[in-house]
Amino acid sequence: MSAPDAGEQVAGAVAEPGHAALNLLLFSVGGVRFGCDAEQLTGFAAWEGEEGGDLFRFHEELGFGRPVAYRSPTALSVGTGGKGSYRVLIDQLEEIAEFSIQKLRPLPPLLEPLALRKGIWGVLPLEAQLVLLVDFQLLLKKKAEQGGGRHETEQGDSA
Amino acid sequence: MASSEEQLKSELLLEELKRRQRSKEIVDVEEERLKVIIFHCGANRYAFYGGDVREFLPNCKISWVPGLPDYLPGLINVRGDIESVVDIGHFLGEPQSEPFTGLIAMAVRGDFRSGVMIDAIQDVVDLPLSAIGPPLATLEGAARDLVSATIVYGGETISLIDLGKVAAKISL
Repeated sequence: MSAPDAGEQVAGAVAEPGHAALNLLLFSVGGVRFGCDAEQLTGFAAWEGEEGGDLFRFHEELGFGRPVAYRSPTALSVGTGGKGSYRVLIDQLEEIAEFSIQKLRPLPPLLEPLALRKGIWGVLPLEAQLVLLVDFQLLLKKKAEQGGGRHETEQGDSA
Repeated sequence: MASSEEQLKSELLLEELKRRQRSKEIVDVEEERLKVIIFHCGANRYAFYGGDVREFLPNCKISWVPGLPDYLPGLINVRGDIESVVDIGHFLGEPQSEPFTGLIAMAVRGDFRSGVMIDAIQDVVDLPLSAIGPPLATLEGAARDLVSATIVYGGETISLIDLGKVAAKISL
């Protein structure tokens, strides 16, 4: 998959007229709030327990390193440009909302390289909390570089 | 009676006093001093170079970020700027209490910029450079790599943490 670099993507969004805002799908997993560009998604649906080789749990994809219970699981379908199906199981879908690029913040240089490996490229300060911005295309790219597959074994998930 | 060319005793004394004052001022200028911040981390006291710390932030909520090592517990929001946080206790063998109730020292040293978790500030003192000693030879583990000097404070020898060395240790 030819995923753009996260930095390029953000810079492009800022530079192009009419792209001064980003539609973010906000959700939480394991008590941590995340946001992803809604344009990366082709759909989402409540998860009813079906499994599949294309379905990955978000906390495993991002390397939470601890068990996470999914209480209101939703399967996000991520666009891959025709290179196979990729679905990610998230929890607590909140909303899709438009946010000005001006409100987004880059990650501090000290931890940016590590966070980018997990597809986390920025931060949205929101309601006294920090929403971590995740780029599924970048995550797929990093997974491909690392040889793909699941990063962790199944651990304590429950629908 | 003194001639007009002879100096009055008071003039001589005044000159001597001014000479001594200048001499003292020179001594004061030459005696460079160093500001250090003494803090608690776990069961021990350590010190930072004062010039490395911009401010102390109490009651900071640290937002966890997945996939980071234990010594990077997450992010903080400092008046709209997002900053990283380093758990220096991880390197000093001083585990932090859970939940963290201490302070964040905002440290800047060269390219290194991050919050650093400490338990409490003990004191801020100006010390003459002559009071700065070499690191203790008995230091062990990771702490040995982070300490550049020692000071004596309250009869106790305290390790002076070099944030440049911290930055080098955690460069990713």
